[in-house]
Amino acid sequence: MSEKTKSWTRVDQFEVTIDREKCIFCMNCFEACPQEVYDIDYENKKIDVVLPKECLICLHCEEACPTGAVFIKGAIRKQFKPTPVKDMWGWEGIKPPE
Amino acid sequence: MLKEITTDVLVIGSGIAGMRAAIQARKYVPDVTIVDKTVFGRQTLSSMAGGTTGLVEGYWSFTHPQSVDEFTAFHIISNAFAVTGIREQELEYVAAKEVVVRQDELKEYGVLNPRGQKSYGPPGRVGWANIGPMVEYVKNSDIKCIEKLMITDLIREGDRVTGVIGFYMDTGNWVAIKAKSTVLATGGGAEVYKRNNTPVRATGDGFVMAYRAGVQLSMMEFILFDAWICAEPDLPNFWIPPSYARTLGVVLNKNGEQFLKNYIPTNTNFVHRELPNLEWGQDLVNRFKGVVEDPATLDPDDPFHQRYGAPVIDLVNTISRGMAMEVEKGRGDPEVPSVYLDFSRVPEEVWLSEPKGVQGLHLLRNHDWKNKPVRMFPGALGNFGGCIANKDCETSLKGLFAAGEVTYDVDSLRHSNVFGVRAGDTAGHYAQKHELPDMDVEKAAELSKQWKEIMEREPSDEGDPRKVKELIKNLMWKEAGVLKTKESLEKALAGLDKIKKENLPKLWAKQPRQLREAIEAWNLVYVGEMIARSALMREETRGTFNRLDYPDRDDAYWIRKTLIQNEDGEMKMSSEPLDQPFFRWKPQKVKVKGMDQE
Repeated sequence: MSEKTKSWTRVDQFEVTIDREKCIFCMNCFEACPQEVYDIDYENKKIDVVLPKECLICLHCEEACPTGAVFIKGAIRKQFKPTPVKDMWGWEGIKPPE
Repeated sequence: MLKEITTDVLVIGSGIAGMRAAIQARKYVPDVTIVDKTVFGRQTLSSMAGGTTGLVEGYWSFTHPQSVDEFTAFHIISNAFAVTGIREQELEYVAAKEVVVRQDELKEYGVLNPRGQKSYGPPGRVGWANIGPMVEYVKNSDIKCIEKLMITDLIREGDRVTGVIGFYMDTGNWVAIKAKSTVLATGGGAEVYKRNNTPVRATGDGFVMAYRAGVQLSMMEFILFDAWICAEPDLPNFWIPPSYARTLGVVLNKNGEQFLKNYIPTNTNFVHRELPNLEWGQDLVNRFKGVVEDPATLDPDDPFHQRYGAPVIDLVNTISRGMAMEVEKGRGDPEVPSVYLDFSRVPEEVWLSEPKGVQGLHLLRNHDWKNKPVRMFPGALGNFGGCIANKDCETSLKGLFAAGEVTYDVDSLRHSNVFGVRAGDTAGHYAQKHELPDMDVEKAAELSKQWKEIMEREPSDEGDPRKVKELIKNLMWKEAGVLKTKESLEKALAGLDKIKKENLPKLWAKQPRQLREAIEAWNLVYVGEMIARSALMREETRGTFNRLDYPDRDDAYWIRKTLIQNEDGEMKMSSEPLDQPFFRWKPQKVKVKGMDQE
């Protein structure tokens, strides 16, 4: 593995975190998540992370959170720029097998 | 007594169709309301997948059509995403005419480069570049936005829809919304399958609402099964955009064979193969044929184009079929039902490059691609079928309009974008011309009672909304998935019937959000039943619809649409020939490659 690879967070180091102090129990993260990563604990008035392995790291929850309580550790927050079609395919050096 | 809200135009759903309809309707009437059962935009298929590949550019670059006619022809006669041949040709024509204009209009709503965004980026976010800015635009406009309000029923007086009822997620209070015109843009119900790449809230509420109100539904048996869905057991079922999957990867079975050649007509253009079936419209076809056969239309840099001699997006249904058949024949992965996507030839600098490398997918970036192929298998992406609406998005009920995935003959964002605008136009115009209808609020309150009962029930295992949902999803995936037979579909129907009798009456909820899930579970049962019943009727293999017991494509009889109608609570099935104003198919049976193996 190159230096570049090492510096990345490994997939198993991704972590969905909720700051309980900041959380106002608005349930927006639960609403925004397309994968049911979150569940609601009505009794204790808190959000649980129940299926972290289902997380797509789409960051919808982070953006929907009004107080910044939800944070996905290790996620890439880089915006993808629009790219021309021609740049999409065509990798030099990769040839399809015969 | 229900609280009442009145509005000129009510739009249900906040995907690309709903938002475009709301924006468009606002040009006609001052009071437009858009509601969603959750937060805007995020639980929509428009945001999950596709980006603008579903819009025009992808198709455009494959075919280089010279005219609207050719663009239409491509979609009707090619083996497009879900179906072969049985597109509603008039709708296709409208979509082809307006698609470029509608796509470029997205710029007005803050979308940076409507033509340029391709299927890059992390899963679940590929289409957000379109939807995100539009949500902002709608929220900042004077359109009334109501989030977290679930609509449960359409209220109908005679053949006029007068409004809807629903409840708020935060308070649980019920509300009746009176509207001059109502736009249904609730999206699809692919969540009915265990393996899917749709947001969890895509449960086909619109289908069932419309069905209960008496709108006819059509072609529900066609599900968009996308081939490129990850099947690694410790990763979610996410879509690997073809920009990664097909250009970098090689699809293999357990024995290391490139099996796709057994399913895809190699070195022959797909469209070309279909052409001789047409009875008339031949001059247009010939012109089109010239365009498609021109080698310039195949991208010389795209290995997949070169390998199969055809743009692969055409072949998604063929690839799904191939993958499913390999697993069926025991040539799939022994652990998980899946085949392999081999990335081992990809050099490190490509795998790690930005933004083209697989690191953009986040979830695969640490995958040991040199030694381990990625397992993948088709998954449900959306519904092709849905409510019948004409080219102006009018349904059979007055004052009810529909656009997007909830209508039939929709296989991409392209349609949602075009018909969203058309629905807004028609609904706005209708609201201008008509008075606010009277709604029998007593009757509406009656309707809400059956749902309110759910809140009063005692918790039980059989009635747990989430467990019921899982039950339905597993059953449908097992018995009515990519490959179907008469027996499996009958099993699916029997299973759904059992769930209807044993689980639905026990559904319980203590919180409004649980009630939402209970209603979703309820709706999923009906969506499943619609799919299974229509699938049982269609005795052929076509597009993404594969019947192992009927492996041929039957253009002699099955250029037809299946129809579903609610008759006093009974699901009445029928079918009728498809209108073919532009192209007519030769009445003959066609062998589907790969279905007749062994």
